[in-house]
Amino acid sequence: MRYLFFIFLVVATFTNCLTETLAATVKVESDFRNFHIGDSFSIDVIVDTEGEILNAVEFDIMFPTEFLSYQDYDDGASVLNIWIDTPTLNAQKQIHLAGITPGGFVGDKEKLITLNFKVIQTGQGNVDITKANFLLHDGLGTNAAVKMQNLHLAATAGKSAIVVNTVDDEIPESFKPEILFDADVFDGQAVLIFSTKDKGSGLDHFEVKEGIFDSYSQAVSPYLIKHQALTRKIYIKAVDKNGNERTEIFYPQTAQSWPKHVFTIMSILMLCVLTYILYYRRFRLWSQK
Amino acid sequence: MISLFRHVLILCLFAVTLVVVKYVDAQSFGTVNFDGRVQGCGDGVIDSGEECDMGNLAGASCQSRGFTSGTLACTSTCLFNTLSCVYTPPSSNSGGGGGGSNVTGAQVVLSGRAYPRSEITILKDAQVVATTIADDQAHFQVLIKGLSSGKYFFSLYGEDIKGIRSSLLTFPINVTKNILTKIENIFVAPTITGDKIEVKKGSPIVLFGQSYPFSEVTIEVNSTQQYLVKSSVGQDGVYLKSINTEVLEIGANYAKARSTAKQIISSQSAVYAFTVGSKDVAAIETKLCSDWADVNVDCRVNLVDFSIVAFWYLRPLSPEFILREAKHLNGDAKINLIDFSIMAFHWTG
Repeated sequence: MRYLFFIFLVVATFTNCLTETLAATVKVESDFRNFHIGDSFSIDVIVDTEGEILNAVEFDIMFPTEFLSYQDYDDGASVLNIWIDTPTLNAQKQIHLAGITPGGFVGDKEKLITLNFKVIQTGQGNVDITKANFLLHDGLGTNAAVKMQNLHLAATAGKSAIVVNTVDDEIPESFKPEILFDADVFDGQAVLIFSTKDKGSGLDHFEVKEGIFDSYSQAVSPYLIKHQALTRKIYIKAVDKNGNERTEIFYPQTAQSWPKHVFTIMSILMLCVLTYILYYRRFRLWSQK
Repeated sequence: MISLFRHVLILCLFAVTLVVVKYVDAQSFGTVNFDGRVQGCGDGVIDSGEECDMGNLAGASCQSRGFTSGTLACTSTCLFNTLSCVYTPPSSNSGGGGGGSNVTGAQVVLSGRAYPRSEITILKDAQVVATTIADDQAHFQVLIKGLSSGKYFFSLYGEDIKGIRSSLLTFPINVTKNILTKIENIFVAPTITGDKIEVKKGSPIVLFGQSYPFSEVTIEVNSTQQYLVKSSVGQDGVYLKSINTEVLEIGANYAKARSTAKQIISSQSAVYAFTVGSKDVAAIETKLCSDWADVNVDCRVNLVDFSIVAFWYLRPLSPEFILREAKHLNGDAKINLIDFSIMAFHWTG
């Protein structure tokens, strides 16, 4: 009996070790652990995939709201290429995010996101990852086993000492806006699609204007085009967190073909003017006779 | 008086002509189709989504695309063909899998092996950034310019002579400002397909595809027991192997392949699924485009499909979209992370 128990123990330990080795590990990391009121700092969410290839991720970040205030996020170095949900503070005061990496990613220190906080009070607590879903790159959306490691932070009274200088003088990445007509999206109306990243401070937002006389307004993709006739050029401006901008222009085919129509009109007009001049001269000659 | 009348008449005629022209214009506005690259490709006019069209290169040249010399051409899909462009780096200090040299701005050169004359599509952070065509020896090289400092995910796939796409090969690259990063020895995975979708146990099934010329392809069939066979690739990049199904289990079987050339191993191919059963069912026509994740059925899985699916994320689906979800995604009548994971797996850019 004792022998059987020993075998069970060995098997159980081995199985546990095996499970532990196969599970991806998600960690919350920061350069600093102790802060003072007024400090601004960032935390990184890092994943060690343990050799597994992952392609879709979603989780919530729970943080001590009594002494930390969430500022914004930086996805410039994130392995997630496309956001389903950008990191946003939800009603439960947790930061929720979801994104994918087409083609998948693998590695032992892959950054998922950088979150920026500000210390507003003294206190201490943990930054935890909850409701995590990490899916394997297997074409089936299989859940990967994940282990979570939290981060303990403390803020005390005193003078703010942390100085974070972000240098980002590079504009966001170039991108190619595309138009979409789909019966199941905005009832088949013309919709503009765009996406890009900023490798420095991260992308802040997009702005769109339709035609040169329109003014820019903040927009998200998919963007329902106001002027469905699609006769105007559409300007899409990507702005990063440091204010660097890149503007791409979408030329609807009608707008592109505009010079062709102008050429036709001008040709007809010139022909008419020529005919008129000739006719007028002949008429004058005839009158003189 | 008569003169004035004639002048007015002629002016009216001009006005009528202008109105007619404007009316024709307005009519044409209502019938234009904006959907992408294929529409209008081949008419010599560069439309939305086209980089070039036939001989119209929009003033671009090999030099403007970052190469040092050569002749820029246009592919049948209206994208730049840089096959005849030559890039000579200012200094060469690379070796093995990659290297770097000083340039203005961050640049990446990707080079490697694919299939002879195959089209290679390169994705940068999930979006198509370049296409090129491999030479007769199946080598390719492409330069990506205008990058910022940081980490990029580059992916690429090849398309064989039958139009079958290879699996997506993805790799991260850290690029630095003013440094040319070279990634060499990229080996595109072989394509794989078969002559039957169901095979009678004991009958042969022929598995074939394309890879790097004179390489060795290892085909792996995942039956109950793993079954490995090897095949040599011809000069044209084609390989073909007849497999005796006597050794395979009855039921679903999955075949995949890898190539080896000069001690370099390719990434793994996509999977070819077939059944070992009681009868032979020929694979009549290889379906080039998979239904998986291609929600708008344009043979591509990209940001457009993503946007359509994202529109329904965590929302109750319409009866029409439930049918599309069942055909292209996991068929659970809802859009959640699993659907996006399936999309990321089948992504083509």
